Amino acid sequence: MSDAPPKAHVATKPALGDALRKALSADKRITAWQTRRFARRGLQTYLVKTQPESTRWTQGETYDVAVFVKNGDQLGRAGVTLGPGDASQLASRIDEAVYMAGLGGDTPWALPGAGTKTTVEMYDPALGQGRVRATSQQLVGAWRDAVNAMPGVRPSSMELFCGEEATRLENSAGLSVESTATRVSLLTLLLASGEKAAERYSWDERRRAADLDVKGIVQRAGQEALDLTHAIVPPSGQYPVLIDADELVGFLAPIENNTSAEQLYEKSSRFEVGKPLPIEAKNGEPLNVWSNAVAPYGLDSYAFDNNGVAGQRIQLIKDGVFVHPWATKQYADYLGTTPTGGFANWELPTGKASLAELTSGDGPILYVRSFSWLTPDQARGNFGSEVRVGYLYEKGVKKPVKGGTVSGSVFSALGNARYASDAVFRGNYMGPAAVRFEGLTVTGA
Amino acid sequence: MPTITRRRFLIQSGATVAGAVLAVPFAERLLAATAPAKGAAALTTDAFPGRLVDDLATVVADLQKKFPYASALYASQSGITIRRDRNGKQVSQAGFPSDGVSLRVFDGSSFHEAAVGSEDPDAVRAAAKQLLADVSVAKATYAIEPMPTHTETWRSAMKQDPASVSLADRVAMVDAEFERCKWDDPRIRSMSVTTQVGQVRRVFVDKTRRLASTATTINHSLFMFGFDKGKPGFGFARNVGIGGLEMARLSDAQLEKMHKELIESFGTEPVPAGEYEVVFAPSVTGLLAHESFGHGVEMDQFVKGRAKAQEFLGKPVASNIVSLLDDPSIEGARGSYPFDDEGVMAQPTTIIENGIFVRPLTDLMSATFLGKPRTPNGRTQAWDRKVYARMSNTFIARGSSDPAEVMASLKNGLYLEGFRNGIEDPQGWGIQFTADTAREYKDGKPTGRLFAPATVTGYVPEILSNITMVGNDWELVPGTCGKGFKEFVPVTSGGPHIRTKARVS
Repeated sequence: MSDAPPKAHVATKPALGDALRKALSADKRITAWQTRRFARRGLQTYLVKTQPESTRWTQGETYDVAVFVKNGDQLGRAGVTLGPGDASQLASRIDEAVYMAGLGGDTPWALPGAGTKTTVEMYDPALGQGRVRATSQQLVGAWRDAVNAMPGVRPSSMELFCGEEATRLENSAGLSVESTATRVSLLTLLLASGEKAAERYSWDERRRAADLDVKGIVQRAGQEALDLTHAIVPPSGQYPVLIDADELVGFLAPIENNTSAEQLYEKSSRFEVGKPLPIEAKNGEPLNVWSNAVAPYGLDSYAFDNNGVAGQRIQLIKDGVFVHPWATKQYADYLGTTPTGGFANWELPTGKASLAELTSGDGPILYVRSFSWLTPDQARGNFGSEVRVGYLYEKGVKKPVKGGTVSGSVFSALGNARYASDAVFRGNYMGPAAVRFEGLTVTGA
Repeated sequence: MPTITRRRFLIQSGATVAGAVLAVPFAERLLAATAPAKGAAALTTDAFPGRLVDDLATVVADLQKKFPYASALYASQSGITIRRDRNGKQVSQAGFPSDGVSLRVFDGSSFHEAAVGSEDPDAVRAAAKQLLADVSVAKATYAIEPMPTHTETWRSAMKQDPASVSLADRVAMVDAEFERCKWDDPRIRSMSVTTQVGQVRRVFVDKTRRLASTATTINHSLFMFGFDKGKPGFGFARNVGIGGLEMARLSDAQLEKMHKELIESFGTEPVPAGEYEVVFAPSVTGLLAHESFGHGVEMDQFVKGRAKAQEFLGKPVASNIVSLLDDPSIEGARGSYPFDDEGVMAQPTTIIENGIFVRPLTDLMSATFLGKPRTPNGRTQAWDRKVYARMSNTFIARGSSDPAEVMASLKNGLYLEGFRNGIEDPQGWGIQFTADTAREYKDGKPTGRLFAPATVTGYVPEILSNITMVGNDWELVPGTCGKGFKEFVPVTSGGPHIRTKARVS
């Protein structure tokens, strides 16, 4: 096929990082630099009904290189990504980066040095190279067993991704950190027949295989598929709506957006540090939000962020007051505040009333398990989304619901919210199992 | 229904360059005209796909000795972004570059794949070795029919090749665009102009096909955000597609429209939820097409038993003035390609013809398992993801009504423009999609009230059957499509102005 010298794909891996460090450190044109090696491997399994459709192994390794150069009183920055096959082109790729960096520039900021290191548990040996095949087979078996044990429910398809990744970050300020992590992702699609055909889609991810409750996921999705065969459209009106924890991360996205240091620096945030959120507080419980990067096995946990800032748990909202932005190193420097690292896992305290109490009363009360797609306007907070799966509570009767739309404003809704006392962990969310909002608009039957 | 002619999507640019080096990093090629600092290669010849096709063909031939079917797909994307805002500017490699090979074998019953993030021959051979060692040939439940022999290499068409303009000059173009777009309005808090020049490469090889393509993509955008008396507003304009630097400049009309929308957006209010007579602008018509009979007719959903459309093949599903197509062969559209990721040549597929559902979109798996003809819709997000049946450019065909007549017919309703997102429900045939704005109309004229955002929900056959007017205009709008909530691929969707009824909130 070729008389070219072999590239020795595997053998060049360790050398590339060393060569990069040496080349970047010796380059007088470069003011600062950062390298991020990211290696990953995974096994993907796809079933149609309960039979294999395909399996695939994946393996990749990249080096993201960022160089910073002085450009007048500004700091130019550019990045290039290298693969193991680029070892022979190191000099030219660095030249590219330096050249590009020299064409631009921002207000200067400094990369973090070798400061505090954090250790966060994110790795499950069961998903590592030696055991991933067996673990995957166990999970597939558990899924098949759970589906077969659900009367009235038929499997449509399943996708299972098991993988591990290793990250090493170094920079010119002396930082050198590394971390390993695993992730398991399961897509479950179940069908049910009844008054009408129905399906239920569930996408669940965890860091540890043991945290993925396959049986529970299938049972819940199966029951919801069965419920949907006789679901009704909710009545139109303004009444209490509970939003399940699975949808709260999407619902609260405007909070994440408006609490970022970047948005503050860009003067694009509606929030001001030290002041109450622009919500009209009524009779609800106050909002408290943490970004938690050090939660063990949290999906969005990290030991260090993309620029090397150590992960931490930081309170952003305290009793409805914006107390601290989450800040990457660049924007923390710009604002003169403490860098917290990128936004991580959501953490909200639980409330006083149980889920059962929040859904009791004459009603109507709508519990939304799942929206079709909830994407509130980041600035205005307005939202409107179709109910994919829900339950209507009225005079002690619980009826499954599909269709109709829930709409309102995130900011207004948070002024009259009650948080369930039941706590749940949903990968990148730790907090109440649901939140009850008074007076949202439901457009249905 | 108007005739959709087969268009030549890309310009054939010659045969494979045998014996040349492997794919050249895109950044080097873009920098070729810049006379960069010492050491940077000044390559003027694009050697792609070079030896890669031959290497993959050799590996596929080895796999084919054991398995009933084998193929290899090389997929890469790379690019350079220039961004200018009020704080400064950045010139850097774009987004998430990706580069790798996926080998696939069929054992007679199911598929097995090994994918590596490299085109390095040793890494690819190691992946093939793993497949040969790990996978056994099963009892032949299905057969994959070979396609006609085809060897071809494509290069996308463009007027101004980015590689012919120095990077410094392209930065100057962005600076000039920034100055041109700047408005002295104290309400505007932030503004950015971004030009991303990308390159998407594909090589597909199986027993009968050796196909390679390189497409240059442009994503040129202007974004503005501000507050007026505490109320946020924003404006956005862009040119996105396959082409050259001729796309990296917004027209005066685009700027004027964006400025108007930005000012108006400060005064938007939430939509009073309810059932409305509506007219959809082409961008919203496209969303309807995409989410209703785009996702719902991806035939892998038929295999999985989750598509209600399966029961309606050959039956009416829409008003008889509605025809809906998917066409990856449209020149310059963001969702276009000369061949899909399973080697099927691009051509239009008519999904709905005069209201009748006539044909679904397939990938190799669904066509094989259900014994149906293949359409050019097998697509993957990247080398490390699976191929699924996916849309490309999906649209409702032109009708016969003048768009002005369509607007004038809106006696008491909403005119929806711009799209944000949508989601499919292939089993329940529910639909949800969100338009940027809804403008109130009475007696065919705008009242001045503007709502944002505007979410449409409803039952697919009801919305499609309620279409009473289809405009004779036509426009495609670029977007990104996920399958479920993952597997993202570039697409467009569009069509003419249409009139129907819908629930809006």
